Amino acid sequence: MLTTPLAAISLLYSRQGWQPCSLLAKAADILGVDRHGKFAFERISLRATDRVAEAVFIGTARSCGVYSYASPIQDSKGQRREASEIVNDTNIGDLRFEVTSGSHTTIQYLKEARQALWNALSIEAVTKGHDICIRVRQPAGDIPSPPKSKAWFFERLEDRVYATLRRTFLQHAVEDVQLADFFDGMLYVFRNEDGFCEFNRDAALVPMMIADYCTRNQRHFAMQFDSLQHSGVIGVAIDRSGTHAIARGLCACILPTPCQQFDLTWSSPSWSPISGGLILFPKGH
Amino acid sequence: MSAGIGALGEAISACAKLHLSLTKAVLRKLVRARRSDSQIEDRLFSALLGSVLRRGELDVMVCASKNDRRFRVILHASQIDRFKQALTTAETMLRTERAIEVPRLEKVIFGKRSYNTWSSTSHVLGRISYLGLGRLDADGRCHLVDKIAC
Repeated sequence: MLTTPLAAISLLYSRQGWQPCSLLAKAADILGVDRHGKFAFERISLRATDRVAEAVFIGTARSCGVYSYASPIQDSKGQRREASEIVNDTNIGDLRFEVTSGSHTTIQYLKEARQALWNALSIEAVTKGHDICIRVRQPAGDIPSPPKSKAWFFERLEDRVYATLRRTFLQHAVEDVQLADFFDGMLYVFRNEDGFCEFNRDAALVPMMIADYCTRNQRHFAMQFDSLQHSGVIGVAIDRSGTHAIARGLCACILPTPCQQFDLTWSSPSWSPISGGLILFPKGH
Repeated sequence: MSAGIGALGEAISACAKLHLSLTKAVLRKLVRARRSDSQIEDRLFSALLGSVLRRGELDVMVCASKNDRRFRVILHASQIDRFKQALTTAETMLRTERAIEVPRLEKVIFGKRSYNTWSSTSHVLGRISYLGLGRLDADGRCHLVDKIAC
């Protein structure tokens, strides 16, 4: 069996879309690449360990994710480095990665995926109880009226707009027809004065789901970060042209809070898993 | 030279550790004072600050100003839980009292006033304003957004 370590908040692409390790089943089909470089799902097992260790955030022009300090990651030249080496001994700006933002299956946001999205949006919210209420990042005077939405309820309060996502969101599968409504509303909520959507770094699932959505709908996007050395936020510029499958490394930093470690195990030696858009390799290979 | 750079990085971390949160300008001032060196160039300071951030010793938090414009404050890793606790305290007070002035929250969080405690308290309220539960007025007082708080 082949094993690679990940952090509890590392993102894997299941048949329900991006999800953190901590919310995935112990056995699941996740996306990876086979020996021909083609995308393929493979059955993996995930085991929560007792290990708590440093986690590394890596952002590229088309992806973002958190990895275990010891996760082996492959760059576009086929070179493999542990996340610790990328953050400590390498200039991230010199690295390029083959990135997978998503869009490789017919996905339905079922129970666990919706819960993961709800948890991530809660990080950005005013209230974290029954409904999620988020302050629209731009002042009301600077933006057009909110879009009509069945997923979001928008309300203007003086010079601010607030968006509410109902708890019922968690009770029904999100169908394709609702996704455009949901994502368009989300882009409206998080777009800042500089014209890109900005998310807390701890809510990395949300920008990766937006990346997946944009890829499906053939909309260009580019991710951006505070600097090569650190970022407290993840920026997503939508409809920005000039992005490529080979993405430049844009940010690498160690997270200030250690994270529970998971072991990802699979059997096929000709397949490699994808986490947070990047290709991983088994430990010791 | 590398020893000097290492010492400067340590000074950045050590100065940040003494405060709940700081702006970059205040941190630079503290580091210069600690090293009795007013000649530390801004570019060098920024590069070393970046390297301390990269190592996970520091982090940043986005807050909103009185004009709802976002800005970042720096937190030492050892202060993150304390900052979150201060946010919870402020949120509870805001929901109960509907408006908070900086000195009142400052007293609850820190007890006695000292250097930068007023600023750190305003960062806590700035974070609440960024998330949207409160709104800052021109005097830095934070008002509950009633309809959202229900």
